[in-house]
Amino acid sequence: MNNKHLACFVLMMFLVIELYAVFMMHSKASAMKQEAADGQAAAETATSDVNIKKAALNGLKVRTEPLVLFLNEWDPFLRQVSSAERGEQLIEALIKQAGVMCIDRRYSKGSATGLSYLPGTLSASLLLEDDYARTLQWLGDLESSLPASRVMTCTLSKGQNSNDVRMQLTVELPLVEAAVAAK
Amino acid sequence: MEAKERRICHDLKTDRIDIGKPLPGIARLLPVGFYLLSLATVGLCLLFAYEMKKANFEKLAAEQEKTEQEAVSAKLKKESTELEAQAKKAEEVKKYVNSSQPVQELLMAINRSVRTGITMSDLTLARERDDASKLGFSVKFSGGGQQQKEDTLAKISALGYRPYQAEERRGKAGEFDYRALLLRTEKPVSFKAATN
Repeated sequence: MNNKHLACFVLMMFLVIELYAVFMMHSKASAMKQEAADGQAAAETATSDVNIKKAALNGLKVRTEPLVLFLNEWDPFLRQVSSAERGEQLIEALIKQAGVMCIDRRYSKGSATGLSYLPGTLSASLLLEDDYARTLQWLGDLESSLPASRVMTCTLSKGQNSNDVRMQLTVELPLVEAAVAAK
Repeated sequence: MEAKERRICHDLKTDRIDIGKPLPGIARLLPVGFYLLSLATVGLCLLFAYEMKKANFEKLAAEQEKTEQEAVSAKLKKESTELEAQAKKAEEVKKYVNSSQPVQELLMAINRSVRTGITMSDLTLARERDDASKLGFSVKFSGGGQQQKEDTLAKISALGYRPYQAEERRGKAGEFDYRALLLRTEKPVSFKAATN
């Protein structure tokens, strides 16, 4: 091998290196293009997923709108009584305000409202005896001023006087304090 | 003269031993190919570099888009979960409201249904502990009988209650006991305060 052959060999080596460089650049560009295409496909999938979720959420909103409105209307009443003491005060104030005769009163805390987010209750057992109209008016006032109250038992029987009625009443009030304590 | 013509002047120099044979003609293409390929390499590398940069930009934009969409998706999922929880809570409230309908109106309606000359000695309304929407109803009349029962049940039905599992018993002295489970047929009102 003389110098001319050597020069040819070197030149051919350069040619091969150039070809290799072009090939490498082409491979990298192709890989990058593929990554960009994959990224765009993933973005399109995410967009499509968002659109599906938006449609599902809109459907859910339409379906649950009456329920949510119902809840929003009722929630303040259900959260009206913060504690057992407050509940007792409210009932006693109503008794005092109406002037009905309360023979016996017992208050206890319970836990069976059927509301998982307000699990506690104040149970009031009252024995009232007074004029029929006044007693039933008092019951109406109780139910309207404490709309979340639930009369569990109510027994009406004759009172001592002709117009009197004896009312044995058990009423439950959901309590917020139990929910707060449970958190 | 002939001798002069015949005199050959020999070049006495010998061939240089370090000078090789010339390369074949096709080898002349090598430098030309080298220059051309060099130019093509530069051009193609620039083109591929531009494409890489463009692809990289597109990839970053797509990744950003994906991240944004995923954030929106997570927000929507959270909103959906909250809404479902609220709906579940509302269903509970609906059941509770259905089981806590005011009884004063019912008591008054029953009292008003009692005919003249008939005495109602005892009236009890008691909710079932397991299902508070069921209201146990029992009443004792002195006298009256079937007609009184029908009047009372008509008043109860007018308020949206229907009696189930009714039992009645007549005493010897004209007493009439009636027991039933009352179920509310109407949906709960939007809120109680509106009715008062």
